Amino acid sequence: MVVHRDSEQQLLDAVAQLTIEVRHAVTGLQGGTHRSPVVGPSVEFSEHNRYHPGDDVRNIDWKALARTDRYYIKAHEKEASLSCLLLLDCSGSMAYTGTGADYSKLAYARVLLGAIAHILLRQGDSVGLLAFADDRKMYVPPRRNPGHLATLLAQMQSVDCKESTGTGFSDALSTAARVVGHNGFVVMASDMWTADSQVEMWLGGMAARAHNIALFHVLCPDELHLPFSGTVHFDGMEGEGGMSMRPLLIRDAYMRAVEAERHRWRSLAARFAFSYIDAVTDEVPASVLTRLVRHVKRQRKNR
Amino acid sequence: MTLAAPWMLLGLLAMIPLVLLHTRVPRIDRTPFPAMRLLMDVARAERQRTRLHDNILLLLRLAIIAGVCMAMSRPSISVWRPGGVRSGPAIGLVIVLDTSISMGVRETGQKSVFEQAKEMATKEIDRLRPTDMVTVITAGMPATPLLERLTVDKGELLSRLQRVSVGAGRIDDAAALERAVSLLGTADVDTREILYITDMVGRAGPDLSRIPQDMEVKILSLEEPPASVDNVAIKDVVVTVTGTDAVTTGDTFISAFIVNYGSTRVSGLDVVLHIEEEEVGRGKVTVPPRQTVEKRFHHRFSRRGYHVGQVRIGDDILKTDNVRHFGTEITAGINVLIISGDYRPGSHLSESFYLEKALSTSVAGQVPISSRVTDMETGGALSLDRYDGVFLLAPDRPPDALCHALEAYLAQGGGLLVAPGNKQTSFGCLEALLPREVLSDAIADGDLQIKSLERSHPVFDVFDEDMTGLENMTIERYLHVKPSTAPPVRPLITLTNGMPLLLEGTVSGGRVLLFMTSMDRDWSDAPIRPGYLPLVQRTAHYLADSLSVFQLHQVTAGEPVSITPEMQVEELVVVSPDGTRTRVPSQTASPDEETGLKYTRTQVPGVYRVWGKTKDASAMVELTTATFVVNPAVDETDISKKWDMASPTSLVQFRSYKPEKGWLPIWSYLLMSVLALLFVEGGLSCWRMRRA
Repeated sequence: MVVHRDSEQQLLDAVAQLTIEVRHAVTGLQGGTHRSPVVGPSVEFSEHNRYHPGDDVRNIDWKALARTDRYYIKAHEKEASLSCLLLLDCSGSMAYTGTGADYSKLAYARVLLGAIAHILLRQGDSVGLLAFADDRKMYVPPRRNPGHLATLLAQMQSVDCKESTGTGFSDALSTAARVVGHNGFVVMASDMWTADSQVEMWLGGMAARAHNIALFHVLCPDELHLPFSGTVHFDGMEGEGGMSMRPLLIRDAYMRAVEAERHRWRSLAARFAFSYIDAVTDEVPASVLTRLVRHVKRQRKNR
Repeated sequence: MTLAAPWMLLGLLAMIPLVLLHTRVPRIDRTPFPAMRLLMDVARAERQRTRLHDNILLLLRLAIIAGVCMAMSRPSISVWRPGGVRSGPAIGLVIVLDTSISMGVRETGQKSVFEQAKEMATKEIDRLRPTDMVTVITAGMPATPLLERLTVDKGELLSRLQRVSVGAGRIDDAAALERAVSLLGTADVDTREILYITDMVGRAGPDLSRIPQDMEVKILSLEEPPASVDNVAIKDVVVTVTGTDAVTTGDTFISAFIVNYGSTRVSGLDVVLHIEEEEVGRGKVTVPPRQTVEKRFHHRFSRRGYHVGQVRIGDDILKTDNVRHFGTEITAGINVLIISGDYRPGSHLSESFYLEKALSTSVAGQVPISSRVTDMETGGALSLDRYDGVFLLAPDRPPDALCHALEAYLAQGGGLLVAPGNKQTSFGCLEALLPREVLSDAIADGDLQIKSLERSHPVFDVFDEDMTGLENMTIERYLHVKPSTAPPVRPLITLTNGMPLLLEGTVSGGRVLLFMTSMDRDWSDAPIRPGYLPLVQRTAHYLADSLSVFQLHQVTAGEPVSITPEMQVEELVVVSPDGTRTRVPSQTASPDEETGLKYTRTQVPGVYRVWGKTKDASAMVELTTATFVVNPAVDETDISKKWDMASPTSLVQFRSYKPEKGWLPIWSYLLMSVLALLFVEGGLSCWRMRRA
């Protein structure tokens, strides 16, 4: 895994300090740090219920009996562990490094997802990985054992981009919805260049079914500013073909189009209440992670 | 179209690499790019616009190369111009256009001479090529260039030329030619030429001796001058009073002097007199050829003060000189008292006989003088305050009462002239009032004559410089006074033996003149000399302190006038006859200044009124004494009188302006077009770069 040396310390600090608390309550069988919709043994007080014969007398609230001369049972919210699936886009376009960044978009996405995996596993959540391009390239099911992080990182490091391969968003998202189950957590890192309206429908549908979704929109500075001069022949990295042009003459229009694209995803995220995070590869990964955590917390509070 | 250097068109080959550069597929590196689908969509949408810009830029650049090559091949196109197109190296041309009064001649149904001259100037400018430089100088007084430098912008010059009108003044070709030489000297041209368009009317032709050798002078005259040269003009208008008491009644004679310059008799010519823009008199005159007649109107002014008017005659081929303006001041006259020690009423032997006759003679343009003669006894009893001046003749042993009365009169600022009589023995009590002590009367040793006059004294303003009319005056006897050089006493006339004939001094605050010989013919022959009348009349005006002019100041159109206001003013405005107000530079004008303020815009004939504001006044007041009248220069309206000069006649040309085919070079137009294209191309390129 490649991390820029200047940002290495910041990334380690962030990973050590950050915790992720998802917006929707999760329904895991294992106990954890996330809210669960079911009531169960926990230290987190939920509500008082009338005592009925057969209830565990250990749960009788004696102080309430002394005040009201009635029997009440203290109910506690069950805390469950989260099942998370990391979706890593390995299409050809993710191999692009560009002129203004030190590493490719794929490497940047690996850093982000690796850090997420580390945080979640530290919280006791289970984390899996799905690397996808045209088709599924690699799948690691969610586990919560401490040694699983090394497996995830090693698998992430092993996948690579293949030139002229597209992105199979639909297949990846359907797999994710099935794997993480109800109220799971899906984190996807992609440049979204070939994502169409089908992908929007998938993301909207998953969010509506109370899946927690985070989308890292990974872009290179070159993609934002088109800093080329003269006449350049551009070749598509996902099999779109090539074209010669003078970037100077179309730069304004291109930048407006890119901004419109980003605005499209930002609007979709706002509409379906999932997290959309701009991840430009010249930015320190720690700040991107921090933005994600803050965004999720803010969503949780606003709920 | 012809090309002087067709091989320069080989430069058009430079268009080939430009086209190739535009159409070739550039060698470029292939670059993978992730957002290719988006990039292709944008590129396809922008392709049409960028291709249009590319093609426009290509066309502009091709046009620039083609324009430069065409210009360098020096093309010419065939044109038909009046008089043809000039050839040879680039020239600098100054057209001197005569705008003097004689150019206003217009025959019935024809264009005026000046309009024809303007057309000639226009055609001459049209004949020039784009690189030739030109300007026009109007030669009427004052000579004025239409543009202060030679220019290639013929449009601006022609526009100004159309606004030029003929003047009413004299020609000032000397100044115009001097200005032309100056302008040509600073122009960067190969050939220098002065073209003088004139009707050649005037007293003398131009002095061409000061034109440098490298400048060619051509005098262009009308090919078809007016068929008739008969012209009648009002030469002058003079206002005179009808008698000594006329000043109180306002009775005047207004005389118009009408001259016929033509060769035929002009009969029944209408002459109309206007006073204050109202017709007050009308008559007819017959003017023989080459002669001047006087048409006299009798007019009574109902009030004192300044009056303006004009005399008009019927129209002829030159209208400008058919009107003459005048202005006059109707004032109270001067009352003088003549006290004679030898008073014999009605007798030519009386001391006062010649003096009284001289004073009562009316002189045009001068305030009239009325006089009363009395003896010394009566004079001593009169109230002298009523008189503006006193002449005391032959005062032999005057009575004390007269001396006391005269002393009191002088103390109030009065003026007194004392002259001895034939039987003079003693001045008695009058001695104290004389500027110098009288020793005796001396008999001249031989015939004495006048040696010199004190020219700076106002008494001698009207005397001619060379001929005073007193040159042959002979003095047989004169008073001998005690020599002295004391400043208060000033000799005004000096005799050939060095003795004074007229002394001026200040006594008791009044002015006293002592005439050393008698005012009649007893001691000299002064009364029969031509200078006697102006001498005694000016002396009377001086004693009365009334030397102001009677008629308003007359100025010839175009000539500068010196305005001397009677009071100190802070601001001066001159209102011309056409209503134009001109503020004279706001310097404080003092009435003591000899030169006054110079005003030069006197092109329009008529009455110019002057308004001034003093330091203390809140509003402007009319300065009537500064009002002046501008009239046409009638001495140049004899259109039959052409230049009397030999050498320039060979320069005179009568050019025909029939259309002729000529070759007009257009390379400068092409270069200007290329500059314009370069400007557009640069702007378009900059706009694209900034947008990118």
